[in-house]
Amino acid sequence: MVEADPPTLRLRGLTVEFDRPGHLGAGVESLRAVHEASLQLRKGEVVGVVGESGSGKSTLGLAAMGLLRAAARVSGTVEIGGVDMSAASEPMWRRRRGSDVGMVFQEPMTALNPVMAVWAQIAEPLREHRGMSRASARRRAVELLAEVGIREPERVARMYPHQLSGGMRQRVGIAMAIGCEPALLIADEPTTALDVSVQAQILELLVALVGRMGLSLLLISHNLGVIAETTDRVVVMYRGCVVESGATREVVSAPAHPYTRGLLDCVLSLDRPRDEPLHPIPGSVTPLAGAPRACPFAERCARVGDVCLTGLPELRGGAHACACVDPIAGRARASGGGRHG
Amino acid sequence: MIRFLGARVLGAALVLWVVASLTFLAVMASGDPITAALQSTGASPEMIDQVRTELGYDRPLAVQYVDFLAHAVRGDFGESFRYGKDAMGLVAGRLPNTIALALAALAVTVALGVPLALAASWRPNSPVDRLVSLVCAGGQAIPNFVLGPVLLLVFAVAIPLFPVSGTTAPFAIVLPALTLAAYPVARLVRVLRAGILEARSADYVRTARSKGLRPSRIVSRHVLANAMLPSVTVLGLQVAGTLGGAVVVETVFSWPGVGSLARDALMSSDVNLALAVVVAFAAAVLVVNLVTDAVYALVDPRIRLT
Repeated sequence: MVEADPPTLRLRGLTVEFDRPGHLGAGVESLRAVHEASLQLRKGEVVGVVGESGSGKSTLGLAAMGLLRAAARVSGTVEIGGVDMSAASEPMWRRRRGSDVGMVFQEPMTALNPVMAVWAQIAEPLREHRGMSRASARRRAVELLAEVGIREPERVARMYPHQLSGGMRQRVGIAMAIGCEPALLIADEPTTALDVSVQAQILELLVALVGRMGLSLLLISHNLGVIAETTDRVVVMYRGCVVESGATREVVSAPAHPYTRGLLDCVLSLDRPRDEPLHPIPGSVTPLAGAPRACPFAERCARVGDVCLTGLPELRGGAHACACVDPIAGRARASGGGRHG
Repeated sequence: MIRFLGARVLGAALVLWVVASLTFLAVMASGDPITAALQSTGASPEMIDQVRTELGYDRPLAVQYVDFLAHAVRGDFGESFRYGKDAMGLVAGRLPNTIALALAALAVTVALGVPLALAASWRPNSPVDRLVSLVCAGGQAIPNFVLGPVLLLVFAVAIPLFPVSGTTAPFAIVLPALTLAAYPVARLVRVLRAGILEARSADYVRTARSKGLRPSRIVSRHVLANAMLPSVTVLGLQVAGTLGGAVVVETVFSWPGVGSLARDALMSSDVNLALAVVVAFAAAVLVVNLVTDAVYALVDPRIRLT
């Protein structure tokens, strides 16, 4: 089958390992942050990656930008716009970063350079990749500020990050990432550090940009509520493994993996009965040392059986795939989402 | 900015008054300056008494103090006993040489310190890093009254690249500036290396990388621009410290600056000259601090001078 339009991002069997000094200096320990993860984004699509802290979702985002430290061992393929970047050199990555792929980071407080004026930070990629002059890059930076919904862009352009609110800083971060009109935007927890009301505005802005600029958005978040409202498809990660993936509406309304179910049970909503207790997932995420030999969720799963410990369950099921030997039978939940507007 | 400057000048005047008063009292408390100055010349006690009366040193201390202050505010510290000239005039005449030496030492500090810090931070704990840290430990440990003569013996006597003393020969400033810079270079390298390592792992540097900027720009505009902030403070302190170090280094290299003048004044119990030198040094330190604050506000937009 010939593809007319290559996916803006395709990850195949992406595995990332870090070495860290072992306990009490006992040799080197290898930690597997991402294990055999695959996902694909088409033009104009919004795909979410959801999971707890330590699930490997941020590592996955950085791997897709070629931004992992030298200490990380990456295998599998990363394709951007149909070009395999697996063996790309740093200068090759550099030409695509900020130009074909933009990234928005979690902490708008620290992600901006404190000693550079806002306009100069937005102008940097324009000058680097588009060869714009200082003056025209500055004019474009002011336009971009207006495009991300900042009032008085001319005045804000002259300000420094510490003079802006968190929401405004995140808008600046987005303006910086979309300046060269990339085909792909990766947003790593873009709203986690923000007030709830500002969170909604930033998500709205990101979705609006997808519509306006025709870009693809990879939205990384620990918050299934955010993912449910914003994305078309979702990939659920646990301990570096993709445990469930599919259309967001289906995954949210009929989760197949016990972990996804557990995450959904932790989402607060106003229509949840007041006296119904929350059901947090007991325990916490422990990193994988090497390739998993059992279901990664087995140690925290309420439905765990002997078969779960015999091997890593395969991701099965096509459009709505799940890596569980005993998936939860399709039972529509009363509440749940899908992408609004 | 105006209010900031006003407050700072007022504060500086207060500091100068305290420094001048303490120095005056210390000098007076260490014994009668006329007797100390003239005894070695073989003057008779009658002559000494006569000079004391002529110069007003027989008056009560409080009267002398008020008299000293009244003249000092006009820049008049009296005549130098030794040179028979206006003490502050002598200091002012020597000041350009000391300023030139301090600026040369600052230039050497930056010219050596920044590349060394970059080299050391490139790969932490690499052989290069260890070598730089060894050199810096040496720079901090070797006192300048040892380093100065060693440099002289090697680069002026054994290999006559530079003159042994004086200011007239071209490049005469190189050896004294190097001697004076040894300690500041070591300090700068340590602070800047730590700053670079911290900035390099900062989120905004990752953001800069995500924009696909070339490494030279990431280092200059993102890493160094942030890493140098604490270094500005260190450099300011070091320039002020250089003035103190000048006493030794100017003597070693026979550099006719305020430092060697200070030595002369102390060796010959030249009270008026000593007071003028101390107050001039204090004023210089205050100016350097003010400049440091202004530079800080210039390089860090988060600092507002109020």
